[in-house]
Amino acid sequence: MAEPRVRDALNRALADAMAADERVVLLGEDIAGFGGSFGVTKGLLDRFGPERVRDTPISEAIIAGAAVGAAMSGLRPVVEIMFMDFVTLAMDAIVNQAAKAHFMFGGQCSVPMVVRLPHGGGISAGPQHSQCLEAWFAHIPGLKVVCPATVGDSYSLMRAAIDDPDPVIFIENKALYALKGDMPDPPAAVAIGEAAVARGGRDVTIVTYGACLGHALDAAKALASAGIELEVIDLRSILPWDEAAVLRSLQRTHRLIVYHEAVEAFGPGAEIAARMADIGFDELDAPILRVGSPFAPAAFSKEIDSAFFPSSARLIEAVRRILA
Amino acid sequence: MRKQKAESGPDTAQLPRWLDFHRSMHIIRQVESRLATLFADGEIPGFIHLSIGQEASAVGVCAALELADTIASTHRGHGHAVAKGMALDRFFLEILGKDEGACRGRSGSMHIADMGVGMLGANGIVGGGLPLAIGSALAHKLKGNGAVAVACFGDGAMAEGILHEALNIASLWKLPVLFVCDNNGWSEFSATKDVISLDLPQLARAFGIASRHLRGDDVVAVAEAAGQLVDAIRGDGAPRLIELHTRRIRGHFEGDAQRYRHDDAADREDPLVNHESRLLRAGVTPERLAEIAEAARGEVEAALQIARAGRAACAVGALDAVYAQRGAARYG
Amino acid sequence: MAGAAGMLLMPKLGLTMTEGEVSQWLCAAGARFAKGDTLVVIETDKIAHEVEAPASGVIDEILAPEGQTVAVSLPLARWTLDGVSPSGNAGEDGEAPAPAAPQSPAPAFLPPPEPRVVATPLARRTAAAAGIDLARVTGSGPKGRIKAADVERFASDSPATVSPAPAPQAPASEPVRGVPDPALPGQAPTGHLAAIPQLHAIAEVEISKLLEMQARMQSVRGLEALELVSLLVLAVVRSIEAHPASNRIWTPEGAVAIPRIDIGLLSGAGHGDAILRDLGGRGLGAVSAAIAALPDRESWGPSGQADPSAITLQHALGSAADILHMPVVAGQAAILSFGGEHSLFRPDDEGLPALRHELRVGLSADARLFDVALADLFLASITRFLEDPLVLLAT
Repeated sequence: MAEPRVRDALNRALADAMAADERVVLLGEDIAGFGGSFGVTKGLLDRFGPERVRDTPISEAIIAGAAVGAAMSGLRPVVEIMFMDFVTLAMDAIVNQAAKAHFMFGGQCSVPMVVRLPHGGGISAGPQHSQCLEAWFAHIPGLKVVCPATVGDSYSLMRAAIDDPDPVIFIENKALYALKGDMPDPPAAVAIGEAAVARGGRDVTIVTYGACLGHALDAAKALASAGIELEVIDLRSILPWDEAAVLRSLQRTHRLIVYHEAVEAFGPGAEIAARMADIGFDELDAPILRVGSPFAPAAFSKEIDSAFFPSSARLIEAVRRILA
Repeated sequence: MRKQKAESGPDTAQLPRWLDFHRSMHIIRQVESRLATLFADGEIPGFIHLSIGQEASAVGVCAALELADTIASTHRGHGHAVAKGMALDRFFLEILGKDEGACRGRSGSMHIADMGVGMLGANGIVGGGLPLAIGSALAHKLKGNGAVAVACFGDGAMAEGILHEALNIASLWKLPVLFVCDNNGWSEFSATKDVISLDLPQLARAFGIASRHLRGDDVVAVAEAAGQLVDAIRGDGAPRLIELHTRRIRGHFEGDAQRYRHDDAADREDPLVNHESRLLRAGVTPERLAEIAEAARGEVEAALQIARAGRAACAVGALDAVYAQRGAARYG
Repeated sequence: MAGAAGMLLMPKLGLTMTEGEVSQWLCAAGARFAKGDTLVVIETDKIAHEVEAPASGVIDEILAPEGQTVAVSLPLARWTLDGVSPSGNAGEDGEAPAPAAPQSPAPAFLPPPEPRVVATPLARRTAAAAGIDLARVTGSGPKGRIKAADVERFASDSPATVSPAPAPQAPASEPVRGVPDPALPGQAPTGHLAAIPQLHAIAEVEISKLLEMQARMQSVRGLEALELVSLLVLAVVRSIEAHPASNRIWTPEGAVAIPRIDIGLLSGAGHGDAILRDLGGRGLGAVSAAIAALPDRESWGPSGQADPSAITLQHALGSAADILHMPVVAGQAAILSFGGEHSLFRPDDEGLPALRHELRVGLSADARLFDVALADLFLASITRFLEDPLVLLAT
């Protein structure tokens, strides 16, 4: 069989979870007959039927809100919001209802739901179809936020997210759906909250996730020829995030760059940098740097879109600064 | 046979049920009257929204429900919690913020919930309970358990888009939902007629949802209509809507001086008074009614005393309760 | 008036100063002095410094005669300051009276703060473990910051000065100062720009003097309208002249030098761009006039690809925006992006925090035309011109 893509891994994870647990149901716009805007749910309608693979109206608020009520009443819904940008319309369900229920109701119930959100720019989709809003959710106690970057992690994290008793924001990068990669058989064990060292190195730690992982590895390869060894950490989970893994790496390299596609200001990197400046202070041999998108909406024009994207060349520039 | 003889005289077969309504409404009235004084005395902090005057709605609707049915309520949700069967001590422990409260003191009045009796929570967000009931109904439908989910909302929520999304999807997916609108004429501090132009019967019709619209001050009429609608839902699985015109006797919240309010022609009566008249006409003695009311008062006081003796809620425990599973869920 | 006896100590006048020579006493033993009087002149290999009296008082005894070299923090003289509590700079010789009763209103005399050593946390930890006084270590990082490697270098250069504390936890390797030849794929996510390998570099430029000079020039008749961007353009022109290799573009036949200096100017608002022609050898007045002569900025037209300028300048002056790494397109060698001016604290010569004005300049270049060395030299040249505007005007 051809090397699977991220899209195939997600599809297989959904199928395997549905086969293993009849409480798992899928809700989303055009996910059944059409197979989802990015083809992630193709074939699932035929296999599991319209009761469990449900096309919804274009009503993000009720899709997400119904998933909360269904989860409270014993189902394990997986919601697809077509683009992460549209999640603005579903924020009450996620922030005020799902995230609070376990705490607010004294543990009487939990909300085992997954919200799938495709994020990321670089495809000229413009300001309302490109955003990386993960920091919003990482700011909400009660949610978990994951963002896989590889084929294997896409499968394993999806299974972990569906098995998790708490609401999980599952972020998929649009640029990665077609990425090919290894799909271990049996799939690797992955826990939410556990980072992976994607490349070992002694000079600078790069903490990243999602589509930026590939760019970080490109930069690491280019710099290796100049004798600079980056240690690239694939965070995989943004909430909770693997502080221990980042700290372990910082103890080796004493230099940290957080690298993500989300807008740099108040992005996930801000929390990681602040936390490491606290618990890792005595390890630091240079200021912690962040590389992210500039403080501006994404744009349609390819030129602007490219200029805003935190490319691996920008990461290399930051590496040079941190080694100065 | 639910059919009632037309005002001809006492229906002895219905009398036990009617007395039960009387008792339930008195308990809710007592509960909320005590909450008003506790709030005024500073024993309860935060926000308290009372449903005094709307007891017939909660009691009449819940009379049609079974334990397995679920109800997602509003910020004015004490009546729904008690009528759905929540134990009074659990209720007061929660409202007083105690560790033994149903929600461990984390929800208070505005989010009170009791999953054990299918009460999915009062809700601090106007319209917030609607999608929860939709999801719960979906779960009932997929499990095939024959249960119904009740989606409570007020007339203020008619202006929220989520109502329209909920009606659409309930009708589209044929979900076992009973929408219940407590229409008290007030959208918080504004008269609903000043802020909303829609007509609920027309709205229900637009989504193909059968509906009933009646005065909410007659518990027997409410119970009858709700019973018929719930039976219909159980029969064909499709959603129904009931709109109850009620009267909010108190303010939006306790402490609301209601300076904006010049109406209250009181075209709706107090449902408790209303129902007492019916019982007297049916031959129940005033002494018997007073006795029931007094028993209700005693039950409420006893629960309150238990609650006052409860342990204070615990901040350390609360920090551990943010997640059902802290840290990592693992695949493989 | 109550006084306090104490010691006048050898001050630390710079980050690297360890000792100084007493050049001249201006106040004899037994003589009274007033606040602000110069007491003694201290010389180091870099500077001569006049030590002023922090308060009035009397020199009791001179301990270090003229010509003597004294280590930092060792006594130069015994003195008594008027009305100063002994907890001031009075030294620790035990002669001071017991804590004086609160006096009203005590002169606002504070001891000069300990000179601040700028070092990374790891460098501090390493130095502490090795018993090294960071004040003796020269920092090689930005603005003289001491890094862990500097401490290690110091330790291996002068092992005798290091106490036999446990060896510091050494990093796995020396920090690598070399930089790659980033003959990288373009990394433009859409791929359409990937044909041009991009190189990014960045510099932080202190513009306090530049702003001061601009303000002074604006008070001169005829220069009222002098804009900061004119000075930036001038610094770029002078840097191109210093590094002619920067003024080339890439063609299918390879790198081609451009015979004159043209600068593309993207308006900060991004409405369009313009080209300033033939600026080689021109001075500030000519550059300023060329910019002023541009049409209304809202309506600048796009520059023609047929008549390219190798270097384009883009800025966010007057805004809080940071630099932007615009990808270089065909016909361009490099884009210089200046971020908005911002203020921040940096250590001054005394190591004390001082408010500085800075801006960042980013260079995006065609990696076939600019290698890392050229990028760094070019940015260093721009930095030097902007940080020392007199050099800019004199060159």
